Amino acid sequence: MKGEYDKCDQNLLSRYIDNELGSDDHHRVSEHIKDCPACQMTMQENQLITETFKNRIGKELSGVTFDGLHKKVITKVREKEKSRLSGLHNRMATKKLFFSLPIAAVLILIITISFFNTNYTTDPSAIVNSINTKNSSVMILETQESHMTVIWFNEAS
Amino acid sequence: MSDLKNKELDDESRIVARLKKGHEGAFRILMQQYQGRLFNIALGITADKEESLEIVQEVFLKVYRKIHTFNQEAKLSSWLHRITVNESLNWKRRWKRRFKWYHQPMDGNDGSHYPELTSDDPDPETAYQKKELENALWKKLKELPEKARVVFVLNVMEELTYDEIAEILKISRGTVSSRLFYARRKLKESLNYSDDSQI
Amino acid sequence: MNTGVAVKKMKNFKRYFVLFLAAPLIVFFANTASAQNNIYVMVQTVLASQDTEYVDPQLRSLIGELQTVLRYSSYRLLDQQKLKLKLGETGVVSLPDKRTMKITPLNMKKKRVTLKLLILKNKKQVFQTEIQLLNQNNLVVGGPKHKNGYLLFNIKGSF
Repeated sequence: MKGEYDKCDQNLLSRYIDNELGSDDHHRVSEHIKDCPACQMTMQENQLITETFKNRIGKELSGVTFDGLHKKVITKVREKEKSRLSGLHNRMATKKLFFSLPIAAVLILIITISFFNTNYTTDPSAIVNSINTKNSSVMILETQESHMTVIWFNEAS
Repeated sequence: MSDLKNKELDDESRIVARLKKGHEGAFRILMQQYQGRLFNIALGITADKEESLEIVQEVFLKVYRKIHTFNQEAKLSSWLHRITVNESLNWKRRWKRRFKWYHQPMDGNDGSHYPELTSDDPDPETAYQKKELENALWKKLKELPEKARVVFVLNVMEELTYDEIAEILKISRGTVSSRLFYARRKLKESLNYSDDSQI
Repeated sequence: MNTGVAVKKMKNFKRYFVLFLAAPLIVFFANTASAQNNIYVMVQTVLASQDTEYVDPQLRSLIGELQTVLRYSSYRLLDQQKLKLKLGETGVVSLPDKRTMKITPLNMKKKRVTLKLLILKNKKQVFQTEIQLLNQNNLVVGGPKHKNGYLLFNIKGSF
């Protein structure tokens, strides 16, 4: 049937070769090819190119053994697994460190505070066991905030 | 047919699940199933046998490292194809290899040796012509732009549809079609070359 | 998988980490232990007066507290002396106007050290007290006259 596919459309033919046309288009191109030597030649050339290329690749492939490849890949996979595990250990150690550091910091803080905390007490800074002076007036005072003990005496002139 | 496809998908899911668990055995099966096909793709893109083997090795290592990222929305084969194409193109871009690409004779064969006769070849002359065509085609393939070459290789060696190629390369169907058309047109010139060489 | 190297590294890490945690504890207890032998006493001599308004910068925290019980407007630091004493050992601090102070730690109990304080003028005893001083705390003893004001003695002890 003559129509729009009377002209040789190389692009369309390329898609026809790859079976990428809709059924209607596919049918029309098929019909066209029957009467078109140019398109038939194109089809044959394409076939030749495909076969030649496949043959060439096939020859190369037949000359290759993959046993060495298996060994290499598995060895590298195992090496990577090893270093991944040791990295994991290090990361776990680091994780433990990150968890432990705050705990250590808190411990140190508690120790430091308790070490210095002797200052922060409601007890007087000094408990007076005894006083001996020639003077009659002696005052013992305590400040309100820090409970600091103050002894005040009048020195005899 | 759909039963066969379902079975294939089941098998693939099983292999992927075992790969994700790090089963060495599953990895060996994967390599056996795909090593040849991936080698063909790599060779089609790089035209270098030794480098293609290296590329396939890198592909499998990458698969091992990245299998946890494979979410099975696409086929495993598509994923493998994509990695292979990328590795092959990356290989080509390294400058040392670029030098080798342009300066090494094609597999050490400049056409001066007599081709080997196979059972398909009726006579030495036919065998010679076939060899000449092969060399011309290989030379023309190397001259093809990367984008066209990759599409051609995937189409011919893996017999993938336009949709499948489009999915692997993340391009449109139309682009696949036009690149393939361009590749065929260019490669056809090698036929003219080989004809001329006989004159 | 051979993780011998990783295990060794873990062990080393644990060792160092334990040391890191223990270090402050060791330092703390070492300090505590060593302090059993030495008592540190600092004596600041301060002139308190009404004629000016001035507070020596080194006395700010002390005077801030003292102002609640004393009403002087000026506090000048005249002298500061430090002593390192053992139990039973007497330290002597020279004070203005031919005065001296003798300090003797007598004993230590928990957080307090018992100190005997003597103030002499012209080698004669004018004041004596025995106190139990809290660690890192101070006692203020005053009021000998001096120039236009009165002398205060800020006595701080640590062990």
